[in-house]
Amino acid sequence: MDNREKDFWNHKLSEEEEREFLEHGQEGDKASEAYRSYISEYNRQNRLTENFEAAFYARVSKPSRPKWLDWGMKIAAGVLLATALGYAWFQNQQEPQQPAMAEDTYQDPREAFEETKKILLLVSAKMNEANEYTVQVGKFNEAKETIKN
Amino acid sequence: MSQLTFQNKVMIHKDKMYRYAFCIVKQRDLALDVVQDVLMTCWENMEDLNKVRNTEAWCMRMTRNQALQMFRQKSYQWDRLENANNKKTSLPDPMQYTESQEEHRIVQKAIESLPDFQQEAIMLRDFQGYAYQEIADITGESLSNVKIAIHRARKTLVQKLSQQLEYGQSRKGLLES
Repeated sequence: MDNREKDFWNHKLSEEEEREFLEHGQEGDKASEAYRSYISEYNRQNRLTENFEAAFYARVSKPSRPKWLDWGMKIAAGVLLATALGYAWFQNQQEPQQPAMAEDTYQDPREAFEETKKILLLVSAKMNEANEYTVQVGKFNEAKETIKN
Repeated sequence: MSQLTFQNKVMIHKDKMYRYAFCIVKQRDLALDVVQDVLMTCWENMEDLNKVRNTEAWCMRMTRNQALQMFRQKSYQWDRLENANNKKTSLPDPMQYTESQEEHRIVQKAIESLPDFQQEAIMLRDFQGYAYQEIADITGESLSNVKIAIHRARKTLVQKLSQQLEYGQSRKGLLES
């Protein structure tokens, strides 16, 4: 290892001399040579492809939505949600308490009336029938009392 | 700032940014993401870039911050140079190729064995050619810390390289004889 190489590894060269040593160093010690070769190979291999720039500019030049539109959409969505919630709450407050309704009743009043009439007629007919029996039973009782006496 | 100014002020450093990001994150795809993110930030803040005195150092510092942030989020393995070497299409003389491959592997191993900041300082100084003061600006370390890191890194490197390469040479000599 010559003096210049020693100075490089011992950090005794100036910045310019160091650069000179790394970029244009002559053949010398194996360590220095391998180091220089590795640096040059590393820098050669670690480069971005030629398409990188084109892809980047294509990406940034794409027309993007203005920022105010994004904010506008967010605000509109918020307002819409608040309105929907408010409306639902208001409806809930306004809705009258429905009386508990029996099941199997009729929604249509006319139909309900007809059905009621039918039932009342049936009840009335049955009551008349029962009444006839009551009269007969009364006659039977009267006859029984007469025989006893 | 126009696209042309952006090209001359920022895009021109893309390879250096990539290499620096790669040195920190140790993964090619992630390094690419870092560069893209930094360039995008620069593009979106082009007005601020005009106020920056040293655009290159500023870009490198942003690359460092972004790379460290990404690296903390994900832990990636070192993507070895030898893997990239294997992708080469035209190879030199097989014997020479194997020899240089082996030497590169030894150098890489030696660099990998250094502490993180020494690796970073060596990368910026010897690989990218930045001045000591610029390295201090980029890394946010003091100038003396940078000098100490490079001094120690070189000392370790020359020791390891001499040892390993000498061993390799003597082994080769033995095999040939």
